[in-house]
Amino acid sequence: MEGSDGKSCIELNHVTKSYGSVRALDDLTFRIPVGGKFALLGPNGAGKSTTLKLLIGSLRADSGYVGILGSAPESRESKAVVGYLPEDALPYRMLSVRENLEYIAALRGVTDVKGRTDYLLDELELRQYERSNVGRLSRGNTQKLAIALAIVHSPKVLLLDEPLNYLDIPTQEKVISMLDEMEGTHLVSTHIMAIANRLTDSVIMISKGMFLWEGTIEELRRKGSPEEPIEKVVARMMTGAF
Amino acid sequence: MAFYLHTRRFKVIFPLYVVLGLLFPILYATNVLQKPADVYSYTQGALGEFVFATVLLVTMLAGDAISQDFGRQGFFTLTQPVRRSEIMLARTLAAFAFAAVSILVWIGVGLATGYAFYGTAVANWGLILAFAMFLVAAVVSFTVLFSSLFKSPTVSVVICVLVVWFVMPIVSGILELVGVEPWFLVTYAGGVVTSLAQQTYPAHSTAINATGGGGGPTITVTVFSPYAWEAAVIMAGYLVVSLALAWLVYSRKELTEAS
Repeated sequence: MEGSDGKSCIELNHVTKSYGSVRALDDLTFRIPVGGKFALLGPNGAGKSTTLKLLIGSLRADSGYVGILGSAPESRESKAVVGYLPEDALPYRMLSVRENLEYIAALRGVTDVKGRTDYLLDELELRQYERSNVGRLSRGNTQKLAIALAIVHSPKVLLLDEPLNYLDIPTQEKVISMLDEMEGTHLVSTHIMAIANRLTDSVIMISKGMFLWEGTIEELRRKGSPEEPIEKVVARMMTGAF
Repeated sequence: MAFYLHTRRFKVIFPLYVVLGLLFPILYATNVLQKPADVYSYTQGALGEFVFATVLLVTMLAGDAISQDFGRQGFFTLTQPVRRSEIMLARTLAAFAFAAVSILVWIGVGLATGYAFYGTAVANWGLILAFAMFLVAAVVSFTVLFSSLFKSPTVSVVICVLVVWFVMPIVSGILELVGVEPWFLVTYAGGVVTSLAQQTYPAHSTAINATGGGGGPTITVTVFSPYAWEAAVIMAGYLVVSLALAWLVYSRKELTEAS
């Protein structure tokens, strides 16, 4: 099924998803254009992770349409262009940092596997751990490796679930600058406005599995008074105080 | 393949099988134990626990082949542009390859030392190796099926071990008591390997009368030995049906949580 808008990169159309009797997504609809950098904002349990899992094809919608560049998320075409960072990522524990990168790079059809691996090891300061098994890494270094695995093939569509979790401030800045330099469409799931502000320029807000609001961060800022922290504006919107 | 090379299980199990395979030959060679009368008795003894050893090895190696994809690591496997059928096939073949190598070493030691001690080999050594590999393939498939049913690798290994180590032998024992052939059990089919090591292939069924102590009632236990063709059919059935069912489950299962 083709998305209704040919220029959409990510599209959800009247999507519903339940886990047993719990409805995680309720008639959720939004579109992200090609090249858009969007944050998916919402309180805990809003359905952000479920939305990302639908977009990577690990879950199937009960009803509605989900598409990545017009392809079904579970299709090979879609998976080839998507990079995904799960929340609390756990790469292959049995393999070393280098083996993880080279394995995923090979699966992704990266032409210069060694060169790309070396580049990411240096950029994310993982070089000293390249021979260490993932099971022995700190949480922060595991997160750095997971980020490297998500971007190893320079994906056209990047789906990130709480990407700055566990990272120290210098590494956060490094990751932000790396992501800034990357072209393509980004969707960053977070419940922290400061992260959305650094990594994206637009926001899709959801709550209880339903669409709440969409616009640029500037538009969001203008919804409050000039002195008011943007987090307060977001909190009011999420709790329906507007 | 790299997963199995890195697993603690393989690092422990493979040397253990080599040591166990060499233990009795060394004891015979150093005259600590008295050698059996002929190569058939020797080989039969060497392969006595073959089915148990195969099942132990395979459940340990393949028990989590698929279930690991439904934990957090699955987000790095199932999001790659690779078909699930290819992932399942690769995992099954890798488990088979590592189990087959371990079993081949173990049987190979038994056959080779038999030849070294007696200057001759059992007549059916080729069939023994072929059926051993067939059994490994059938048990790997059956184990992969269990692995596809459970999200937790530990649960899938434990349930599979319980079924193959305990449930199947108990069912087999009960059926022998009532004189019914356990034709649907892969562990029964695996008995073909030790049967082939005997000089004369055993009868398909042998009734044994046992009298209870103190003049109690006499009970009849029927011991069955599978025909070679029958064992092949049972193993093929496990191989095909288990893989088909595992594929059905694996291709439809959702990765619902980061467990």
